[in-house]
Amino acid sequence: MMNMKLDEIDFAYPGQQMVLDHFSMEVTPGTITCLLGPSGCGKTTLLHVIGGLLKPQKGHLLGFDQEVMSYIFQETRILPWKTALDNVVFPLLDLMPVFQAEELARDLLIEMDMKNEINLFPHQLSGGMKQRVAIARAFAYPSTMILMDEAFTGLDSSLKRNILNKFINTWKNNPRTVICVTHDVEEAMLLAQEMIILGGSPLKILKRFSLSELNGSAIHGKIMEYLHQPS
Amino acid sequence: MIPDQLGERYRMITLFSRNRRASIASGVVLLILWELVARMMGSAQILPGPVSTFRSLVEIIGQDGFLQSIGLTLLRGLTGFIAAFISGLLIGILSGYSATFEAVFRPVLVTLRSTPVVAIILLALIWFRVDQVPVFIAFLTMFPVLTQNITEGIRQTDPDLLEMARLYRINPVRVFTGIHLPALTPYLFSGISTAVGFGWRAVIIGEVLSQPRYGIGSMMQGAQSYLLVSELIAWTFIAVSFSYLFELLLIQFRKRMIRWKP
Repeated sequence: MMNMKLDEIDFAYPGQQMVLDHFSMEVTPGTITCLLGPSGCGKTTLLHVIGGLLKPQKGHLLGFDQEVMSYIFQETRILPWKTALDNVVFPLLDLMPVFQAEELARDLLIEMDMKNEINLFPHQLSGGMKQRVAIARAFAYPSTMILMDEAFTGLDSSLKRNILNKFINTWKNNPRTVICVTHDVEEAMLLAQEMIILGGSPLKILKRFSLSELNGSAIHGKIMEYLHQPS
Repeated sequence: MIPDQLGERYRMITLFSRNRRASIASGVVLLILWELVARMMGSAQILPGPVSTFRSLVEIIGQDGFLQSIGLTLLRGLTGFIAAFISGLLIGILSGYSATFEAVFRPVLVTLRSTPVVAIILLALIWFRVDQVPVFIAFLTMFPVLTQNITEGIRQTDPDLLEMARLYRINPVRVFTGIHLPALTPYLFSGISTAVGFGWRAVIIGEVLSQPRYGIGSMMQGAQSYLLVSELIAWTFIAVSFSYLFELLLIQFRKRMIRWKP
């Protein structure tokens, strides 16, 4: 699989300081990479550049197919007038016949433990259930990459663990590259196979942890050390 | 913010049903007061009591031309509404999508909304046949209300949902039918409710002044000319009843259409 790389990216919002200045980063295809950094450090901007929502002023993105990406946001962005099933089906309708989209959506919602809520409207679902609909939608879409922006922020700890487990199980059955932006160390540690600690202004990589390092002892302390080092 | 004017009316109507005893008691008190004031006035030609008004209502219903009057007023209102709805939908959607289009059209809407209905009727009397005047008035009264609500509905569509659609590369037609239109529905119902309220009154005023052969307004004008006050009040009662009935139908329809709202 072709490597995914951001090469010497420059990005600044009009009239403001550089957020990304000659920023380079590699992502291993097929893994879950968490970008961890304090709020407001520019990691969402980085995610938007990866997703093609923001055009960098300089530099190249190599190996990212921005045409086929799925997204999971903190706000679930599901349509209030569509049932859980129809929300998952909606982005698929231009890509496949309805019956096929419905079958796929139903399977994923069942995988997300939502068999009994398939035909409910969002106002009848809890916050966690809505987020599971958004996850099912992201996996149902035939993307090569899922971008997540603080997707589990705001959920309480036990609910977050529960949803993260469901996410990981679904990902194992439907593997693809995942880039997850978060400021939550717990979330990143539960999810990441690779973790990139970001900080500073302009944004830079402070440390990169591989899966073996993440499984090592005292990793939490090391992460906190990097997160709290002065920029 | 989703306008919930119709929801508020629904709550009021449900409240009315729930506290039916209190509402009936209040109605009875009003009728007694009406009867007392009518007796104090002592002239049925100035203020008839509820009993003689009810008698007039029964007589009106049995009269020749009753159904034609009701039917033609409804038809005029409906024709004006359909014309206003189609043009309001077209202009409202275009204004919602394009700020320039809205800026071009805004003066027209503001002028229409602030021009006194009577001024428009007087002009319409010169331009149109008498039976066309109420239709024209209904159209001009309802059109700006519907257009502005539709524009607002398109504008207020949640930008996060539109961004989601853009990210998932959903085609523009589906974005319109799957996101903009449903988001617009509450605004549309609110607009229809307000517009029909104004439009119904405007049709009747139009009929009063243009005097087509049949119509609720024509009948009211006829009754007023002969000082048949009880008949005039009976026709008013009929007009109000139709307005109330429409509101109830609209609320039921809204409940079916907006099942997704808590």
